[in-house]
Amino acid sequence: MSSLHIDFYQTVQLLIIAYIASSLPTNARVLVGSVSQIQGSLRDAARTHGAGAVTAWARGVLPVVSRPIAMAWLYTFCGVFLELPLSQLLYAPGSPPASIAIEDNLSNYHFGVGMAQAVLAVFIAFGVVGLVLGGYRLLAPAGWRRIGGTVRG
Amino acid sequence: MPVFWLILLAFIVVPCACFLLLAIAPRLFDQGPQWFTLTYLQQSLSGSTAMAIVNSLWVSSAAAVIGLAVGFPVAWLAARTTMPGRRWVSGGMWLALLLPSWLPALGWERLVEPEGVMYRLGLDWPWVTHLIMGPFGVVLLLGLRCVPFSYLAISAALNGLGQEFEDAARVHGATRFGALRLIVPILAPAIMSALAIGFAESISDFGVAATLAYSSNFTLATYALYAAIGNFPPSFPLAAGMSWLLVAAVAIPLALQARALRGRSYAILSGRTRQAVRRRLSRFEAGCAGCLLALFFLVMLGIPGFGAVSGSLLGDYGSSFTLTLVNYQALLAQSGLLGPLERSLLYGLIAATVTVFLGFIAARLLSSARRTRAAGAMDYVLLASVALPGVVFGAGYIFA
Repeated sequence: MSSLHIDFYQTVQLLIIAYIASSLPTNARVLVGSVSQIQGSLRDAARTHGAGAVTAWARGVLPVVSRPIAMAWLYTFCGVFLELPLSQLLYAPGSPPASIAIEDNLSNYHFGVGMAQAVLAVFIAFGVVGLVLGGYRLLAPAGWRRIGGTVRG
Repeated sequence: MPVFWLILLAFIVVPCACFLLLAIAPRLFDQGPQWFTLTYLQQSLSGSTAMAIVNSLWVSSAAAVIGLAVGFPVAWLAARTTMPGRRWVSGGMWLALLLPSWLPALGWERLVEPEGVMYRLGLDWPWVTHLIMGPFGVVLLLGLRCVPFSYLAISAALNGLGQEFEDAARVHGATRFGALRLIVPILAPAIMSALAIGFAESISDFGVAATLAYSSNFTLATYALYAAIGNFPPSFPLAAGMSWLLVAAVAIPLALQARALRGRSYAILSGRTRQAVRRRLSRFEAGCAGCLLALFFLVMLGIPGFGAVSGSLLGDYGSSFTLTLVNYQALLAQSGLLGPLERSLLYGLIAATVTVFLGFIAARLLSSARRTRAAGAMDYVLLASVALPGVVFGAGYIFA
């Protein structure tokens, strides 16, 4: 790409593109199971009742896939937040991500600060997981949460 | 569909394919004089790189076996018995799965390294240092990393396995062990999946290779590939040659697994499947099972977690075990120490949101009722990309 005068190497943009490209195959695999369970009739029924394309998707399809989407988002977030190999090879000098900063501190014998960064990073990751799962539980309509659950007789 | 194909080609297929092509045709990319050569593949099979690949192969095989040997009994006990703590097993496995492999490796390293937490606690055990900071420690960590994959694969299969097979074996006089001999072949697809995924995950792992294995002078293939690019002068063709071997090492067990299962039926779930009954463990059995489960989580999460947290609460210098918050104060006070965490948080938010958006579109295209050849090809490309080690991906991007 450099020969085409497109110079992306060691830029934040390339790093984020690489994160997305490397997570996409697994993410698609994670979602394909739940998406393949959706029948076209769900959206068709909404359209028959006068909903537009976006409303039909938001009210007919989204409730069914909202939980798998939330889980896929969390899985990708946790993978990217502390990702090492791509970060090591592609990070922009002067803007190291967390994993590189931790590695740098440890390799420069700043063990305490490096481990403190690692511990804090884990707390942030689990904080985001808690926030998303808690937010889903509190904010998602009750019907969304009931889909896929068991019926109590 | 065309736009999505363009994205796949530009960001996944072309960078990786060009990088792999570089190993046999360096002239195409101005990286050497040859239009076609096998020199770099031969080079990657000799000297220190060959040693790194051999190390990766045996370590990954051992790790996959350890993952299955631990994951199978844990899945069985959690699904089929009244083992105490069984409700926490699934959450614990997901927790271990979400942590990158290099974090527990750092925790262990900080615990057992010379002048580490263990020595500061007054435990002068150099044999533990030698044990963990060497091949045994690397196999142990990668093996523990494989356990969640084995657990998830086996427990999913166990959920569909009714009680009738065990009952039939027991009625015909089989002991519990004899019944297990009947069940294991029925679970073959899950067992082979666990082994294949464990092997693939271990051989493509970079986290342990760049931390514990590197500190222990035990080179693994992914780190050797990184070194081939990172050292001066960088050798892209050699790195590409190693990538071929890594991709083959990941793809071969997955292909063998698919071939072994082809043409056989393992269908056991039907309308007549009877729900399995949990076996009530005696107090002694429950105690033993609970202790083993606790020991497993202690080794997997507890010890590295203790190593990391206590390491963060100790000063860098001195030999006493005096806890201090000085590192956390430095983290908050010194500029530039929190920045990387904020940056990764932002990268994670952006990447996860865009990935889920694109992943949903890909899932829609793949699950479309009218399955076209293009959708089939996309399925294959995405599946092949799952088997691509992250370090090969990164190298492809540098080269592109």
